[in-house]
Amino acid sequence: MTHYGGLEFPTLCPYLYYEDTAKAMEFLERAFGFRERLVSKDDDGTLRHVEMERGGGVVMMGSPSDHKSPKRLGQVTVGIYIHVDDVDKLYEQAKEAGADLDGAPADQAYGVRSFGARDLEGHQWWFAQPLSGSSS
Amino acid sequence: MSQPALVRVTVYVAVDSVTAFEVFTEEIDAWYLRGPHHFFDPARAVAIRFEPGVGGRLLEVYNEATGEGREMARVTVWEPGARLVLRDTRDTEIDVTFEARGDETKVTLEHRGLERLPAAEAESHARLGGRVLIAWFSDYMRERTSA
Repeated sequence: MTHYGGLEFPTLCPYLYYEDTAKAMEFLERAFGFRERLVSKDDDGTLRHVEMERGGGVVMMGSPSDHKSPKRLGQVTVGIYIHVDDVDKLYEQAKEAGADLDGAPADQAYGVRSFGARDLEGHQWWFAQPLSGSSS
Repeated sequence: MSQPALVRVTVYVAVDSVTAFEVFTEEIDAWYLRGPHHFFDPARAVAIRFEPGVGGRLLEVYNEATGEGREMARVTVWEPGARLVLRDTRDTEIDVTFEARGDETKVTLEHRGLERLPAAEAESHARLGGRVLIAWFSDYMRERTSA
């Protein structure tokens, strides 16, 4: 972990680009259980930088000018993999929120129960719970 | 790169919203960190405290007996368990909301008006006024509730 400016950061923080960061924030909270922790805005109200967290993980988010989402490009080039404590419950939450799901949670040979989903702009996510118990 | 006009930081604390508000205001002297950059006059400051209610001051106290001190900010909204708004001496606004979330309280500190500050001061002012302030409060709450 790294600590500065009053906040704690995991060593690795994915920075996700969205065409509409405000909508993405709302979706990540409702579908995937993230919580807002930092927002900064310009004086015209434009979102400049966002950080959301889940279980000690942090994603940074923003909207570069002329950015095109994976959904618009028709191509996903990276995926975000997160360990969680209750993958079946989260699956139901994501389903209820209208996430684009790859399928129901399934036990994997490498020791997790997981499912994949894409967010509203097409970014790929995977959520995995160790079959041996807690993710922490 | 210019500084943002608004910074909003959210933490979750393991008490009800009324308690969170009380700790934020009544116990600020316990969680506000002493340091050479955290007071106008760190050599003289012996405490920090809120005068409760709208119009009350956030005061850097120099003399506990006489109450002498220097105003750091003025309270413009005082809603115990729900919301606290301060306008500081640099004319920026700090808006703190307390919302029940199950067994926790979501505490959000929004620091506005940073665009009115010279660029060289905005970052340090935003850091102390927003991110650091709520981090100190959050750390104190974590220790307080685990004790």
